[in-house]
Amino acid sequence: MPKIIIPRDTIREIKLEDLMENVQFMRHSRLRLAQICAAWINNRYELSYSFVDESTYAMITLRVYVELDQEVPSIGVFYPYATFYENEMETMYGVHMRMMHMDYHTKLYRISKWAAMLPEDVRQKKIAKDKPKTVVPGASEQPDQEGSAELNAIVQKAVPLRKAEMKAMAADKDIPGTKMASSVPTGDAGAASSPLSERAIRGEQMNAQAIQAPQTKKTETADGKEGEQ
Amino acid sequence: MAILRYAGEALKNLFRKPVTRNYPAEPAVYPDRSRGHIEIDIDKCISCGICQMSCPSDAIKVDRKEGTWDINRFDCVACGYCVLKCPKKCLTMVPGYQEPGPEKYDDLHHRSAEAMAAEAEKKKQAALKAAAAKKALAAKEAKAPETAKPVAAENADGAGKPAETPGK
Amino acid sequence: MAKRSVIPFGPQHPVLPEPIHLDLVIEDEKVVEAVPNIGFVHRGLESLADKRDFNKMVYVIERTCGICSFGHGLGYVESVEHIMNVEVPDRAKFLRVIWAELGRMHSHMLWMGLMADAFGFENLFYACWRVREKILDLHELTAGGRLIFSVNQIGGVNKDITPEMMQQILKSLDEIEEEVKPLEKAFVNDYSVQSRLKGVGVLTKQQAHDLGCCGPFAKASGMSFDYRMTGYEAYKYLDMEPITGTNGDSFDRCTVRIKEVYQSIDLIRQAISKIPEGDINVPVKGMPNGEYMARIEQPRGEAIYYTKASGKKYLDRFRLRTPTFANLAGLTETLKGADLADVPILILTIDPCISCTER
Repeated sequence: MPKIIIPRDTIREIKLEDLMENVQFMRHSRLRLAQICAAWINNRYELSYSFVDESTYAMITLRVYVELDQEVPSIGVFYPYATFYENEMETMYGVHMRMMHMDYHTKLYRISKWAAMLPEDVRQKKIAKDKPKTVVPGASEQPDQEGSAELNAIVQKAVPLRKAEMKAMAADKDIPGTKMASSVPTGDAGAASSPLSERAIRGEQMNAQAIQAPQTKKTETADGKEGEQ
Repeated sequence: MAILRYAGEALKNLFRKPVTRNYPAEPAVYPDRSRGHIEIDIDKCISCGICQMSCPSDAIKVDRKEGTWDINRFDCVACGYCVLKCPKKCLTMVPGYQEPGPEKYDDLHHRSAEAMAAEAEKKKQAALKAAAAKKALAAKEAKAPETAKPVAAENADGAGKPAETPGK
Repeated sequence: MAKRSVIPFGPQHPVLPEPIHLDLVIEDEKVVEAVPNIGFVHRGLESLADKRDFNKMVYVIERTCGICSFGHGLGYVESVEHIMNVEVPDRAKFLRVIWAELGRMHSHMLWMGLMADAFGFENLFYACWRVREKILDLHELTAGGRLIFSVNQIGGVNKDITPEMMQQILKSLDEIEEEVKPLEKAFVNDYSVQSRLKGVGVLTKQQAHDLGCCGPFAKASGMSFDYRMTGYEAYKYLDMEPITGTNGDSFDRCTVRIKEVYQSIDLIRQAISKIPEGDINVPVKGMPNGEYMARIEQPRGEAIYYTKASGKKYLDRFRLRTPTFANLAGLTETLKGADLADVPILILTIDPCISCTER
């Protein structure tokens, strides 16, 4: 008789919070992602993530129950090609996905009705509730929104300077208001002070100016000074 | 590794006769099982409507009272499910594909007048027999309480109930 | 850095008759990145699951695609039969295997023809399709249609193959084997064909595993994964080994598919010699209740059929994951670093069936 391998299949139900850890375990055990499937049964979404083992042909399915307006994190970190399945879920069923690897913005299939496979009354409810996606669930301040002062400050520090500013920096003798300025020897234009330290000074100054704008928040600059001046 | 490996076959092909058939000069020959289109033997049809319920592309329409059976030849995909489901086996799948045309049309079939009359007659006879059977049953129920022992009132009630409902 | 431009490899292109859109980012005629865009043939077949009852649904699912049509009907019927605990008679299982292998041969011959057309060898293209016509004649003789069979039903098959037809099949198989041999020589030994295929689009075994590829596309890279080894239908009575390649380039993908044609001929001969007598279907009562994921080996790879039912005559959910959908990621990876002139060849090596991908 020829050699045949009988595969064993299981379906395990997990909670949405444990999804990323379970998927990380699957990736660690070298399983291959086979499919991600969504269904609307009994007034909630049922997502099935299926993984296949190469040597034993077994299939392990993770089952997650999600409400109508809950958001699901993308597993594209572990499996980059999961983006096609997740975009399809978003297009056909309207499941909110967060941080996908390649985001087609609900237009993977160019159909005029978004979330066409939901029943009509549920679909109307979904369209009414549509809100922008969050990055960190439950946090009051999201990293990608306006007014997030800390991240803006870090980004500001890394801005490269233009030529005119560098020239102006070279001409500056003394920059008031910063501690580092007093420690730097004030020499001639471009003589003793290296561009790096002057750029740092300039960066500090720009940082200080940026932080002054929202007066209500108290932030600390790198040299320990209070932001409010 | 060599070049022009296929040259021998290509040259042989130049001198063979063509593989294609000379259609429509020669008529097309189809095997027996080829699924082309549906034919109906209309006199065996009883207008039950099972073929209409089983068509995946909604190509068949059956009117029970009139005794008609129409099929939209262009919608039919020749799957053969209606042939499997017909209880009287009056549908068959025959070879020969549908000719193309400028617009879709329905192919109408009407059951003959004798067949309709025969069915009407059969229905009348069945109705008469059913009425006679009901009358006989009612008469039997009416006689039963007189001869049965007066054991419990329930028995008489139980026997009385079926006699009432057919009268409604 | 050299200048980059974006070329849209649009839905109308001379490679396949099926529409797929790729945005190619090229830099001095080498492709740097590719972003696929699908959805031009989307017909919404899965949403018909709540409008056609589970018996009629076979005919809808079969018509998803013309090339892999028997496989789709077979997978759907298998998943529903598993839910309803129906035991199919052995003769029906062998008949299904014969039709499935005929479908596989026909699909690979079609692919070989398209491949030859993609690198410009039209004579070989027509020669491959001439052999395919013989296989289509066998289809019409036994099942009734050249591409769509309509033979599967829940509980078995609804047509039988008579002994005369089996003799006809065996005779045709001998002729087909004789005719495929010179075509194989032209693909494998010819210098101009090899210079177009060797070393083009290499995918290592680790990359193929990381990208989730399946089918002959992954077998050529060394992954020995074939669902027929699990013994569904009558494969447990037949003797076969999965065919793998070593290098993972387009040449290996070509030779793997040609060897699978020979393997299919061998499997059909084994099945015809071992087929038992008996019924061809069993009557089925009741409604389906439960869920199951059936997997079968289509000519293009692994196809998953997920059915969920809850006791009514309409299914709750039917999902069909086709192998081309899984190979799209592998396609974008092989395109990186390829010449612009090799893009049609690389798209064809995954054997795309776009009407399956967007049902």
